[in-house]
Amino acid sequence: MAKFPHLPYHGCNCCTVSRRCFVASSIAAFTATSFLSVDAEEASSDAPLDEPIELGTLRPAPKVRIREVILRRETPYWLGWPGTSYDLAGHRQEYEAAFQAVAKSTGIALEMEPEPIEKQENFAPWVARAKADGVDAVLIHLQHIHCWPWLTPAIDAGIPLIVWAPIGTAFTQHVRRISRLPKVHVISSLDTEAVEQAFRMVRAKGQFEETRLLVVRGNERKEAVLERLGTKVRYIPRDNLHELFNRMPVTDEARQIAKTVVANAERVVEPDEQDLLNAARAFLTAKRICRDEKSNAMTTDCLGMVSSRVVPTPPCMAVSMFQDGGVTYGCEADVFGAMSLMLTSYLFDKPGFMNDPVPETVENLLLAAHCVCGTRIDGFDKPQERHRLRSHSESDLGVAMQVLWKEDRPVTLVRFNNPNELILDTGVVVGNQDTPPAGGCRTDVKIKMDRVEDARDVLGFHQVVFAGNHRRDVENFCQMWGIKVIHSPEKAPQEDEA
Amino acid sequence: MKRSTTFPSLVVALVAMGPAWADTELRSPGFPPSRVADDGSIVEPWGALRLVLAGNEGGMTAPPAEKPPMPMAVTCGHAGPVVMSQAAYRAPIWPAGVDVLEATLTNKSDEPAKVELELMVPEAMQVGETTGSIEGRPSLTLPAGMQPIREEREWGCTGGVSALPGWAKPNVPCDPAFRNIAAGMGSVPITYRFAVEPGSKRTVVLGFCESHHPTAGLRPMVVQVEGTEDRVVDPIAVWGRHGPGVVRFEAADANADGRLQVTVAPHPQARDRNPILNVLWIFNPTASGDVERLLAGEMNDQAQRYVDVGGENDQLLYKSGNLRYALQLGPEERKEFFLLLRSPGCRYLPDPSQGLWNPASLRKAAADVWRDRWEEPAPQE
Repeated sequence: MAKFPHLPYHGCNCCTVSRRCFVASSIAAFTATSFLSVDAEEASSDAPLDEPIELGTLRPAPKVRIREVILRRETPYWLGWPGTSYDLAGHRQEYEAAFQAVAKSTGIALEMEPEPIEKQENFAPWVARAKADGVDAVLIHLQHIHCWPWLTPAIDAGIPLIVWAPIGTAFTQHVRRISRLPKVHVISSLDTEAVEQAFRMVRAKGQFEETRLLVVRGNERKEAVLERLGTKVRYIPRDNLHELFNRMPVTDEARQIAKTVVANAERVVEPDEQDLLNAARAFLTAKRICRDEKSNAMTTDCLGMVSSRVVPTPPCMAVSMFQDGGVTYGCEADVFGAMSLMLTSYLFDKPGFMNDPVPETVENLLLAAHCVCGTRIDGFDKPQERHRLRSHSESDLGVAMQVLWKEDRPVTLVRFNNPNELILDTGVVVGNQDTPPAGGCRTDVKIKMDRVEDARDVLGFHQVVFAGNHRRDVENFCQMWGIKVIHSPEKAPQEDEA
Repeated sequence: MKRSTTFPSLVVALVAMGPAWADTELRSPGFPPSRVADDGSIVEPWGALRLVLAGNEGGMTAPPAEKPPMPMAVTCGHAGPVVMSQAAYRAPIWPAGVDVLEATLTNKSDEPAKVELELMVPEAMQVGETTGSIEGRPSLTLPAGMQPIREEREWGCTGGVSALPGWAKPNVPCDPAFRNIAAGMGSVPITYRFAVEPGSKRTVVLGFCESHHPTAGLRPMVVQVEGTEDRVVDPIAVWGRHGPGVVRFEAADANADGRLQVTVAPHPQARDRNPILNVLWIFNPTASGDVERLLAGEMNDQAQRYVDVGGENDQLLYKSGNLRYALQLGPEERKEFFLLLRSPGCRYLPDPSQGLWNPASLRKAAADVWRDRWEEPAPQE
């Protein structure tokens, strides 16, 4: 047997070959250099369990490049929108400063072309160069209304296209068709914040592609890649998690986490000190296994672990802390629930709340119920929402956040059915349901649905609720990346259809 | 501890002397492997498949130097000035992967060159226009944009659909054919062609019975019968769940090609885009339209064609057997294509025409998984 050095956990030994095999295959070229270098990169599964891991390092940070250019007719203008009086240089300066600012805030490398393109025939070669250079999207800043037909090469090239058409450079007829094409996003507005959201669309796709979602369930190890979004889904046996949890000590970090969550909560209802320390250990365990598995998000068979009593605490508090830190942690090993959480995280920098949909038939409301809500509802860098520390309701174990959502807050509900289809609805928070008197889950948000006559008809399960009415933003994302959007029915089905 | 004796990262070169494919596994961590046999066939549980360049003179060149992170079998052969290289590997697409065979034909001369290829498939494989199926299960996607030379039957389905006998549960007594369907899983249109006198007219009747969805509006379909306007059919909206029903079309061979074409396609707005079809009749244009008798199967013997779709008398348009391709390559022209094969555990074969998977994205998927893979247990010797 050939002697290859032992590769530590999550390294590979499958590239090692027996001498017999190697000799028999002597005609073959062995090209496993990258395999054998794996152990040089092996991080840290042997590192001590109290090694601190910064949660934010798990969040995918792809290098995303967008290239910008101005399209306009030769200057000076005489008639034709935006008009002779339009300050081309001034507005260019203004908008390019805004573009740079949003590029910085979204972490995107923006490459701005110094010279505007003033002749139609020069645009196609520019697009070809951008495509050859592998940019992730192009941003076209229109400075003349007659330049819309010039955009055809960018559409044909299939390169994601963002068109910034400040008011004065488009009529409805110009945008009606093009703005509804896949891989195209048209902003006909003076609102440069829309450019930030457009950049997020491009970044989010990169983040989906860079993400490895760790699914902790069952007893198999395997990994596959989702179509369209490119997310890697790695399954590992459930035992790995609870065995690691059982080894995880009460570290200084765990004690500090326990103190902090108590300090930030409005009150502590059921949990005691041991629950808090266990919940903190669950958080450290989740970070550690995510890091060791080179993953950026996770979802676990949490209910299975609790029901089989292999852990003394469900991971609810850890899940909430992950969401607040911009790293997805989904419940119940639900892959597309986790993908839906990623959508709110990557596209809006907000935590999502994966929930069970409960009908309230007297008030015709949807109650979004689970024990894993994030607290920084308005964004990862925003203050926490009011919350209490509770137990996980079904088991009365551990620590779970009961987050009290502000009334009148608009919300959006998303749920990937698969990589190609997403359920999208919106509503408004009208209150919070306490447990008791209700059973179910600790965070229980009452939502009055928009455009859905009867709350019983809301589609999906484990939908993800998040703050703000982002219906149009989600639709734009889905249009850009070819995802079909479906909505819950506005009207209740007829009796014979039910 | 025992170590794996698999040889995943080999680029295997076919050389001039003797069989040179090492018995190589196509695999991805966590999934059962397939095998590349000595003769270059890809061996799946459902059979073996092999792409052969006619006139291969046996002189094999070394494969291009590349270092894929995943196990890949590569070979290279030539017939005259045309070189064909093949690369086979497992793409771990969700949920359970698929095997990929990429092929590149290169004309090394400055003259046009003819190329003949033979795709050797299992005897039991029924090959349609875009896919090949074994026992009704799609197992192979054919290269896009390349038309094989093959014989057609008088009538039949163009393939790519799944036969699901006993799927429907008609709630009234009716022709037994209403119990069976063909389903175009993955938005595949169900298409039949029937030989007719060029330009002639026929009455086409389609029978439906929806037993999956509870309500209307979920699986509307677009029915395209040659010589008629497209029509949207939503079986539950018309006949209810489990209700058998028929739709009649006065059809014509509009393009006078001697083939009458009938297609049931997914509606672009449908939530469920897998079209279904239960029964198909072709009558003379003067045939009576007695719906009750049609539903009862009492007009089957008056039909020129009666098709129990997805049932016993259904058939594929194309005769079975290996596929031959005749291509013409321009001077120094290069042509690339790929096939997808159902690997062990594979749950569905993606449709490359939807653009979600192509050689670049399939390779990336494999590379992404192999780059960060984990230690696997060694097999027991």
